[in-house]
Amino acid sequence: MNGVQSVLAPRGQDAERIATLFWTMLGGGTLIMLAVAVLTALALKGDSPGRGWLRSERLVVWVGIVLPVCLLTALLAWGLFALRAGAVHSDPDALRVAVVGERWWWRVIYPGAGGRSFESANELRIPVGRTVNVELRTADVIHSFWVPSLAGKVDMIPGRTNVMSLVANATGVSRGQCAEYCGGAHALMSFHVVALNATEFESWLAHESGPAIPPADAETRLGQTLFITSGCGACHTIRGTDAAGRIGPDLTHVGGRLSLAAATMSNDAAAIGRWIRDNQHIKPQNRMPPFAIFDDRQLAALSRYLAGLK
Amino acid sequence: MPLLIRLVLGPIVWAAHFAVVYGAHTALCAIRPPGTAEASVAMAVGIATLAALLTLLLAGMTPGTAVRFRRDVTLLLTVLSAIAVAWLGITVLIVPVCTSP
Amino acid sequence: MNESPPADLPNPLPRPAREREELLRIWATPRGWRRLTAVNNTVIGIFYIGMAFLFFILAGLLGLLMRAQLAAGDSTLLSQDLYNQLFTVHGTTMMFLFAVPAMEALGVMLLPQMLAARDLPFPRLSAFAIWAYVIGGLVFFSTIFYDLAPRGGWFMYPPLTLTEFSPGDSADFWLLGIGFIEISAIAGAVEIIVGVLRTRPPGMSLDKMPIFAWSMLIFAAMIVFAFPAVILATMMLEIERSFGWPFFTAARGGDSLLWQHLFWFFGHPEVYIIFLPAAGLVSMIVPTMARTPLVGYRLIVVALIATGFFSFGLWVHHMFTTGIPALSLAFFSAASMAVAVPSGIQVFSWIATMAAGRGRFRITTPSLFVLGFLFIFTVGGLTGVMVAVVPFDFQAHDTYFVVAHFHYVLIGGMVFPLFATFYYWAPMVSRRALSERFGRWVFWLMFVGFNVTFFPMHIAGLMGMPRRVWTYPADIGWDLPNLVSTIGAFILAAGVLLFVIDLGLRFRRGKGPDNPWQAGTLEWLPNDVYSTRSIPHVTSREPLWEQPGLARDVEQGRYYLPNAPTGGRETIVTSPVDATPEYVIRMPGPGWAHFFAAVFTAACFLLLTVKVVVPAIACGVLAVLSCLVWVWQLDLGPGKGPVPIGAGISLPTYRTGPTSHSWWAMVVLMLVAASLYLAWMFSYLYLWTVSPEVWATGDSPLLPGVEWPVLSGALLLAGTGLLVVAGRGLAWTRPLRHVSPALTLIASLCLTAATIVEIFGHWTAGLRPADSAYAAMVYLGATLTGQVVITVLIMSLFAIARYAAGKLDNVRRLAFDNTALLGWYGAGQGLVGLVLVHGFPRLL
Repeated sequence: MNGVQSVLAPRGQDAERIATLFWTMLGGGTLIMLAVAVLTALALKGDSPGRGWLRSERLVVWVGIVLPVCLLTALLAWGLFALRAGAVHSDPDALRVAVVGERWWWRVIYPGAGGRSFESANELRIPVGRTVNVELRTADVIHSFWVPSLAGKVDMIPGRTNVMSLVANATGVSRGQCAEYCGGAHALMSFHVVALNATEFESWLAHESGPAIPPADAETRLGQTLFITSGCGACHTIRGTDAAGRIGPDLTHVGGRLSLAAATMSNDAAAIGRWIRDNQHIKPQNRMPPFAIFDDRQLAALSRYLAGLK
Repeated sequence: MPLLIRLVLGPIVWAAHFAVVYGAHTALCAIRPPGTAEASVAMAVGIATLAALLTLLLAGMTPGTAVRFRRDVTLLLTVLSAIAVAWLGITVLIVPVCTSP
Repeated sequence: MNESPPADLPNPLPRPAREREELLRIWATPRGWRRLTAVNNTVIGIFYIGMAFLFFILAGLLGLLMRAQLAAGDSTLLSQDLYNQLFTVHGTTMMFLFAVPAMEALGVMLLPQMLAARDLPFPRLSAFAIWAYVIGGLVFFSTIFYDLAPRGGWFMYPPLTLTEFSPGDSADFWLLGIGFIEISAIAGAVEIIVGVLRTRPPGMSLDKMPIFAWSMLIFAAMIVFAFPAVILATMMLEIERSFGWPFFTAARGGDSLLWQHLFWFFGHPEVYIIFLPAAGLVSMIVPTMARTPLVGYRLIVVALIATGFFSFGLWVHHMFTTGIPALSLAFFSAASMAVAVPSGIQVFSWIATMAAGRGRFRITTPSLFVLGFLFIFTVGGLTGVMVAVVPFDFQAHDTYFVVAHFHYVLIGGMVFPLFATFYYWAPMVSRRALSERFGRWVFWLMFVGFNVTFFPMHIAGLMGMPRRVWTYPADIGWDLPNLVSTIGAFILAAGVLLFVIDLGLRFRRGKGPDNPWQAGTLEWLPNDVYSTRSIPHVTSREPLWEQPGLARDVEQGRYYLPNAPTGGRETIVTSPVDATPEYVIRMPGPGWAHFFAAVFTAACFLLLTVKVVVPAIACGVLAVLSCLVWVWQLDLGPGKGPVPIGAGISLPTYRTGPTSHSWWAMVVLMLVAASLYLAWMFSYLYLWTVSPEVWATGDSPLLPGVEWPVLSGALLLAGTGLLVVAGRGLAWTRPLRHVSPALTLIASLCLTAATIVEIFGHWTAGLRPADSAYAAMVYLGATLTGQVVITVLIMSLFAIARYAAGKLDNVRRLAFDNTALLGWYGAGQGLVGLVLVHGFPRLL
């Protein structure tokens, strides 16, 4: 998993440009640091040849003012050009996706067929090579949307909609995380971005926009019944069932995601069971109450049902 | 007190320029409909920058004191302020106006 | 530059026998319980710096706890909720309770010695600031022990800190506790500005001032302009939490970014507020160790001033990722480049000075800390330039890269110079110097520990680790850098612990060896509780090097004011630029009033925090009464008239008007009020750009008719005019003179009425403060002017009382002059406010 969230392992256009900027600045900065160290050493060394020009105001004027002004002018200009290059792309072909920061998870809203949008959570799937304009909003406090290997971060601010452009250069999974402290479980508010090639993306999108898979056996049918009768639908939606809550993440295809609880834990039936019963220990202060009402058999049924919602 | 203020006239011009440029950009982008603010922002920044540089040039040519220390400090502060004003001014030549980063 | 010293020293030998004993008696430190009443800078300065250091240790311990939690991924050593409190209190304590107070403390302690003043001009104000800080700081810090500490981060961003997301009192502890400590910082700044400009020794013109005095002057001036912004922000947030005025709520026209603008308008200069004095200290230590005057003194002064200004153009630096327009970001990026230049000037001036020395640069413990500072600060400066490049900041912002960067700047730029200071200046206040042998261990442990702790954080940040996370997954590559950081933190802590041991073993209050480093500046003159025996005439930057025999002559009392001609505490006030002697200021000694003022002010704020309203108000009233008792004892009047200070110079003992220290302090205070009001005007206009839809316009029924502002404005002008007449009236003969105090009272009532009219006008138009951000801003503006006019009203009642007591007349009139000054300021502020609040909407 090393590098999955790294600025230095770029897999997107912006991240690559910024990584180049960083390595160049690091090189320049190292040279300057070495120069300062050498000058200091010479200054400390006592009488040595070449110490004469070190001891006058001329040193300060040339090395302390003129040189930095030249270097900084160049750096400023470069930074400004990079800033211009990274501005939001007005690409007519761009995919528009909305991500809403919630305490402490991500609501993802895709455009569906016929202008009807549908929701997912904590995972963003995007096509490789195509501009994705992500609309960033928040439902409560300030969050910040950040996928280091694709691009820099942009905050989600109440009353505003910020837009950022992502272009993934290669297929694969990147990890993102909330970068603005949002109280409570801020540390456990992550997500995955999965870059797919165009055809894979379209077929995924078609499947994802559809309703949930109906339960296939007795146990998962029990799981679905438990889900509906225990009030889970007050907060969660499973399209194709009566559960249409809007407070928590949409679970229509929860089993197909890479992680649970905003990339806090792996995603399988056992993990879902633990989450339902013990979520306040796994992710303290999260807004889902722990459900200790289920016995082991019921919990297994519910977990298998949810894990099966691919 | 006037002596002290004269000493730091350069940075005061810088601060005024900064406030005008930042205020003009923010306000014009907020009140003008998209697509119409660009020219006025560019013009405001341009005029403010030229005016500030001219003021600094004048201030630099008349340091207002014959005491060497105060004259040197005044002059160098004026030079640094002029560099800072110029840096601020060139941004509008490179970065698009009123758009999100 | 070097003037020739006066041919004859100002005072002849032999000195009368009892002079020194009298000085000792007058300046004696009270004993026992009465120690609490002490005001002498050496006594309270040490106490001040000791408290600041205590907070450094406490906040450092919280840092160690955090490092322990982060040593490995998925660790559950600390709970999420506790960790969130820990980093909030760690940051808040380090910034507000350690860094700024430590620098103010050094100012209070070192400045009078460096300026050979007997004390700074407002000793009780310093003492008040210190006590307020001690009480407020201890209570704030202790909330961590009761699970009551704020959890919003030291930056307290709304809406997270609004009642909806942070119920309970914990956020209020931050808002009221820190708001109150900000006031203490401003009190200290007033003292430092007036002290540096007016209590320098004769001959010490601006170009001969020690660099530390320059840096403290700029430090204090920056506090005056920066702190009011955060005071306004804390007021707004507390008002929104308590009364629902929607400054920060988007649904009613507020904007959470307004907080960020105000907070960082303070917060970014704050970094330089902390750094400049430290740079000043380095500029004092380097020449001593090189045994040569500073190379590029003029350039360093320029660098300090330029930093002071440019640092106010950086605040959006902290908001690069908020989505504000790219060009705005570019402006701030440009200013960030501008502020880097002065740092370069200073670094190369120090290097040049090291090279310029006679013989080798002496490697002592202070030198080691200075060299460590140079290395660490340069790294921090370079990463600072990197994060000033906007696109890179999009990645680095709010990650451990930034955590590493600012610890390099703050620990490197401030803590290392502070330790250099401890080792360098300890002999001035301790009978024994600190141990050089221990010192080297302390330095190397701290230097290695620091770099091992914070360098890997750059890497963790680049690997994607955000700040303010209490835990992280063990499988994404962050474990190793974090483990190394934790190990480094304990090495750093071992260094600090060794220092504390050294301090315990060797630090003993008292007079140490004279000038152990053979330094050139005045703080190394022989001194005692009264500071120096006589006040020297200074003709160079390093008087102890350039004026042979100075120490002996000063100690023998051959310079100015070798005695106490007025029979009390006093020092010489000189002109701000050329330092020509102007008058002798008579200063108050120990007292209880300022102490109780601090206690009751602290109690008032803290009781308000826990919503115990009635006792809070009672404490507030007691605090005001204590202040009145305190100032009642000031303004001693001309007394016996002019006194001789030597060299045939006779100086008056009393001044009013623009040459008096009291006038200067009042002007600084008005600048504080004006900064606060400017921050409000910015907020008003800013919120309008965000939410024009909630703003009143010319034809809106919510905008009061023109008659309201006209009436209010007329009352303000009437008050202004009456104060002019009242001032003249003090010169009239009795009984006509009795009109003057009456006019003063009427004038302040006019000002009060003007504010009431303004508020009432909006109220009758149907506007309620909780309606919208517009309404909240309108009422807040009136409240700010209201605060000023209420103060004017209290001051005018005070002036009348003094008149009645025969302590106010045409000569002894400071109480009136200050009232009038603030009254005029309040009227001006009120008029500007009327133009904005009633004029601006009519333009829309």
